[in-house]
Amino acid sequence: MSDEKLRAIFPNLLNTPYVITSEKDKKYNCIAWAAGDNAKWWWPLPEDNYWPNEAQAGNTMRTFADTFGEMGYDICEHGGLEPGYEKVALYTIDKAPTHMARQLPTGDWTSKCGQLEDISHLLEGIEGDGYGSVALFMKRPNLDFS
Amino acid sequence: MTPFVEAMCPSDVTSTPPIPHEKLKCTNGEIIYSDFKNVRDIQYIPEFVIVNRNNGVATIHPAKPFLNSELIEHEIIEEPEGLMELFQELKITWKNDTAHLSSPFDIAMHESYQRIMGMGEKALPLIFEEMTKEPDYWFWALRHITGENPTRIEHRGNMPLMTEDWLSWARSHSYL
Repeated sequence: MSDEKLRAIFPNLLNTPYVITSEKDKKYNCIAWAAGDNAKWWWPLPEDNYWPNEAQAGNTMRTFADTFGEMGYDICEHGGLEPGYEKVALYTIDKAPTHMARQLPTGDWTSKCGQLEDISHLLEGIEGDGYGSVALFMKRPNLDFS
Repeated sequence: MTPFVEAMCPSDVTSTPPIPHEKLKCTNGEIIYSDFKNVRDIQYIPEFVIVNRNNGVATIHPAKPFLNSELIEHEIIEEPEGLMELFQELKITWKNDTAHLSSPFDIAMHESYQRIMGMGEKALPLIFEEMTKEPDYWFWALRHITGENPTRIEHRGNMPLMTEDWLSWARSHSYL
């Protein structure tokens, strides 16, 4: 059922590789997962959600860029794998943020799909009506890289 | 059934009606029902009978001797029979359509969620009942319907804890 539901939401998964890597979990969302948190729901809407800097509330790309900037990320041009760096990708629909994915050491990406499962996937695998398309890449030095 | 006929029926008025005490008011010797939600609440209480129902107003008659009887008219607030069913339909559609979403804006702007919000205060007991079974992102609706936000700042983003904050609020406001 999970695969069927995911492929219905993200038709590109029919033609691109992906793997379900967790159970469904309502405690955290894609932004939290991209930031390495699996215990909270992140969104710059402070009344009901966690956001590291509540002064940066607002559903804009700038808010996400600034907040992840404070976590050491800088905007970069592409999502290709760069040794020594970890990257995140921000998806938008009409410039409104919808989703973030985090790059894996393999160059694939990992996403927490709302309340659904984590999946590893290609960037284009989840592009479409559900999340829109990637509008922003950011990277920071991978402190674990050796 | 007329009051006279009812008065002829043997009926003992109990000194302690099986009605929650807070729903009774005593004014000048009259016992007045208030705040019952369904006509079934009073249909089966032996010391009262419904004489007439018309346009949401029920005339009820205490089943006691005719000479001492009093006619009491109350407006009955009836829950639409379909409200719960409609809520369930909307809830299922909302959950199914938004399970993959992360943005609270997208989750709350879903048409079914908005229609639930449109139910106003009538939706509150239904939402709170749902939250006792399965936490979900009801917080936007609750804030806008109640005008309040009882979630503790340190709990924000933590769905189980925020749910418990709201359920505590619900209990203190008699929704649970």
